[in-house]
Amino acid sequence: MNTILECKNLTKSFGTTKALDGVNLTIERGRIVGLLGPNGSGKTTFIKICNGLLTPTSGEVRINGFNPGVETKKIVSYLPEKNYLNDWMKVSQIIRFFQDFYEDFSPEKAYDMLKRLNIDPNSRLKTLSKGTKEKVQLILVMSRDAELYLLDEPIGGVDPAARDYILDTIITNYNENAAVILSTHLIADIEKVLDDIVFLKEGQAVLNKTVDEIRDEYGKSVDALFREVFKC
Amino acid sequence: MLAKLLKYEFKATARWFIPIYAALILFALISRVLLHNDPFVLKEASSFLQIAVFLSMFIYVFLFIGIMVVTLVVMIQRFYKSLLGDEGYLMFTLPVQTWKHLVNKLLIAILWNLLSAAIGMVSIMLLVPAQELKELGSLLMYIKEYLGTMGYFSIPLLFLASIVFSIVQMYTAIALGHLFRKHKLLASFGMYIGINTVSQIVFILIILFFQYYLTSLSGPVPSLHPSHINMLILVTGIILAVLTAVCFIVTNIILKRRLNLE
Repeated sequence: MNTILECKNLTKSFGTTKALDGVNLTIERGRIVGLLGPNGSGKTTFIKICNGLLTPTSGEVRINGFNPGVETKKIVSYLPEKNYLNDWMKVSQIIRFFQDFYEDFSPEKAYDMLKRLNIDPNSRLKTLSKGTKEKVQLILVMSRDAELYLLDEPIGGVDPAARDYILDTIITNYNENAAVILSTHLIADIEKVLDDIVFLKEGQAVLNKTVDEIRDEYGKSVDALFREVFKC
Repeated sequence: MLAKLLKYEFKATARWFIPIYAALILFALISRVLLHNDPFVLKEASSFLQIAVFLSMFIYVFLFIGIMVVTLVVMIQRFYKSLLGDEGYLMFTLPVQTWKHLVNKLLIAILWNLLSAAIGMVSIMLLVPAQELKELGSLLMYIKEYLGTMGYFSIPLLFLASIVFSIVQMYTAIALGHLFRKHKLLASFGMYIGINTVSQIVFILIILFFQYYLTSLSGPVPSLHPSHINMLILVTGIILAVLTAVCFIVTNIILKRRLNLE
């Protein structure tokens, strides 16, 4: 079982617009995959379907052989593009919450990262700035020993210094058994950590290659290729 | 997992209820001390005392209504915001079956409904002078007279069943509203009116049928025997339970198979 995620003919319509249009994709374990595309290309929709937060119109996703459900939620660690933290808990309480519900969650890792990023575990979630909340969410997600990390715009709202730390964390935290899918349009920052690239364009996967293949075949960086493919 | 969900749901909601319960009891006590040690004292009391009594009673009534509003609002908000709002991203990615989320919300909502009712009653008892409390005792007598000893069980059970149904009905309305692409809240409201109308019609039919049944038994002037009323309560209770189950199943299917957090 080397495939962690497989989707077949995945389609999602909102009214008359198709956010995803027949996406076929296979993601192997041990890879860091960049899901790249301009705004509205279906990145978030894809990730939300994999988490069971959206119901596909047709087609299906299998994660470790299962459709999204309790079995997949145990092994998928998801960073949404939204702030899902409630306002009444302290940072330490939300850590306790994750510890309660996820067997693979390591509070030691979480406290260690909080310390590195200078976040006080006793502060209330509602008093944190937007960027700090994003850091807390990322810490929660990366403190799990999951098999699949689905990170939606993980570095979008944080400062460049924290960005480097976060990317380091992503690379060092995952293991050969796990895969990371991260969506972003900040390609230059993230290119160095990626193994594979998926380009999404108007709900379709238009390119699915390794970073090395892209460099060999096109003789240019992913960032340059992106600018070419999605030229306005 | 359900126990853990319940723990967090209780914590998330208790911070609303505990302070307002405490305040209600406090103002019931203050009003009682000012007023009821001797009800006639007020007429000759200083205007200061009169204002104090008026104020504390005003705050008491305000809190009493406040508890009813908070109970309703928190119930709706904890379902709508924490499952179908942004917090739903957290809740629905937990490795927990959907029905457990539903049972969690429902049990905690029932708890606060019952507690709010109980606290409201306790506060009234604190306010009402002891001799008038005996009137309450005669209410129990009436129950026994009309329903027999069974009434002590059937009335509370019916009360509980109707609370549970009224909560699940709201969940179903919100879940159905969620199926709409736009104006979800408005759609939920419309759905609530729809479900409510259907259930009202069902109950009117039961009453009519019951009346017909009684008339057929004893001629034009129905005589009410405790067993008849208990039968009516039983039938109502069973129908409430069936409607509750239907609503619960519909809500569960929507949240499980048609979830679309946008």
